Amino acid sequence: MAAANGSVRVSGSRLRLFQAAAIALGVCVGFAIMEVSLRTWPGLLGQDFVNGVRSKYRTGPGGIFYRDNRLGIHFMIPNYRTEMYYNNYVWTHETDALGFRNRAVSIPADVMLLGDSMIYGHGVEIDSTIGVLLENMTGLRVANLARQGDCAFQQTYLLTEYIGTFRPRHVIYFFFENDISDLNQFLNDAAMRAFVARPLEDIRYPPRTDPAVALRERETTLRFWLVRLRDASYSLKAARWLLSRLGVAAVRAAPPTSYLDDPSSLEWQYTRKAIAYMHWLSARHDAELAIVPIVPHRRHYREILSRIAAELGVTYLNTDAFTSADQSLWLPGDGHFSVLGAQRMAALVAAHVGR
Amino acid sequence: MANELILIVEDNPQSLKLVRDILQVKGYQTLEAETGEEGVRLACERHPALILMDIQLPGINGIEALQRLRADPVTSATPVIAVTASVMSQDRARIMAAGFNGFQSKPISVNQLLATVREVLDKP
Repeated sequence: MAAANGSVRVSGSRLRLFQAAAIALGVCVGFAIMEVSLRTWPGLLGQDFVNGVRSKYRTGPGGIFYRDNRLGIHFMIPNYRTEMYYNNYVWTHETDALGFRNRAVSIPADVMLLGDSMIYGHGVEIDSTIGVLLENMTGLRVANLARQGDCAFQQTYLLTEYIGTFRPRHVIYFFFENDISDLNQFLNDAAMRAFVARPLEDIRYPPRTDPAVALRERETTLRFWLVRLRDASYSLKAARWLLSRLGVAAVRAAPPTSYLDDPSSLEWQYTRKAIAYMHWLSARHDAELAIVPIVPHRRHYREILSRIAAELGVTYLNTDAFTSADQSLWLPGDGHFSVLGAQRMAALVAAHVGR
Repeated sequence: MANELILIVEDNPQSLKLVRDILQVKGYQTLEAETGEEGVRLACERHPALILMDIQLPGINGIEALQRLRADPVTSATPVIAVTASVMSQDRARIMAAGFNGFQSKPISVNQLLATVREVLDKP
C-alpha cells in the first residue's frame, strides 16, 4: 500500500514536471510563431507597429540617437549614415561631424535653424530639407540644428551651446504644434516652474557629457543581452506596443487637456520664457531671432505666438498659407513637409534672411 | 580675441575641417598637416603655439610624432594635445604618459575643445 502510495506520489511529481515542461515548450513555440509572423507581416498590428519596429528614432541598436544623462537630452550620433523608415517613407539619414543633418558643418554660419522633425527633414532626402533648400536659394551658409522630437527644452540648450560657435546673423525658431505637449515628456511641473521663474541671465545648463564618453556608455549598455533581446524581439515590441496602446486609450478617456490651448498654462509660460531667452541670447551674439509657426491643425496657436512675439519684440513670420487643407504641402499619410512644402517654407525664410 | 597659431595634425578631412573652423571662428590662426611626418616638419618651420595631434595617423602615429617633436630642441617645449577616439581610461593614461600636454576625445565637443586649447595655452 505504502509502495503504491509512494508510486502514485512520484507519478504526480512527474506529471507536474511534464505539464510544466509542456507549458514552457508551448510558450516557446507560441513565442517563436509570433516572432516569425510579426517579422514576416509586421503590418498585422497596423502601421503604428510597423513604425515602432522599423523606426530608428531611438537610442537602441541601429538607432540614430545617444542620450546625455546629465542633460536629459538625446543627440544624434555624429558622422553616421543609415536608412530610415516611417509611414512607408524611406530616406537616407546622414549626420555631420557635430551630429546634425547638414551636408557639412558650416562654421561660421549665416543662419541657424532650430526645430523638430519637420525641419530635420523627416521623410525626405537631404537635398529636400529646408536647410539645404535655404542654402541653395540664398547662397547663405545654414546650420540646421533641428532633430526629431525636439521642442523648446532642447532648442534653448542647442542655442546656448552653439550660437557662440556658429555666430549666425539669423536664428530661426520653428515652432511645431506638438511642441506644447512635448514639453511634458521631458520636464515635470517643478522643472518648468523653475525655468519660468529664473532671470534670463541666470539660465544655465549642466556641462554636457563628453560625446565620446556618452557614446561609449551607449555601446556598453547595448552589450547586455537582455537589452539586445528587448530591442531585437518583435514579440516583446508588440507587447510594449499593446501596453502603450492601452495607455493611449486611458489618456483619451481622460478629461481633455485644456493646457494645450490655454496661453496661461505652465507649458505656454515655459514656451514664452524660452522664446524670451532665445531672443535675449541671440541679441547678445548680434543675431536676430524669428519665430516661424508650423500649426496646420492648431490655427489658433498663431494668435498666441504672434502676441508673444509682439510683446517680446521678436520677428514673427506669417505662415497662414501653410494650412492642412493644402494637401500638396504635406507627405500623404504622414503629415511632415512634402518636398513642395519644404520648398515653400524655405522660400518664406529666404525672403526674410535675404532681405 | 585669441590669435595664437595652432597646428592641426589630422588625416580625416571632416575632422580637420571641423577643428579648423572652430578654431578660426574664435580667432586662432591654423596650420594643417595630414601626416605625422608633415606635422613634425611644419612644427619645426612655423613654431606654432600649440599642436593638436591625432593619434591614429598614416605613417608614424601621433605618439611617435610627439617623440620626434620632444627630441628636437626647436619643438621640445611646444605643447601638444592628443586627439583620439579612444576614451578607455587605460588608453588615456598611456597617451598622457607619452608626454602630451592635454587630451581631446572624438567626436569633438566644441566647448570642450576650446576649453582644453585655452587651458593648455594659458599654462605658464
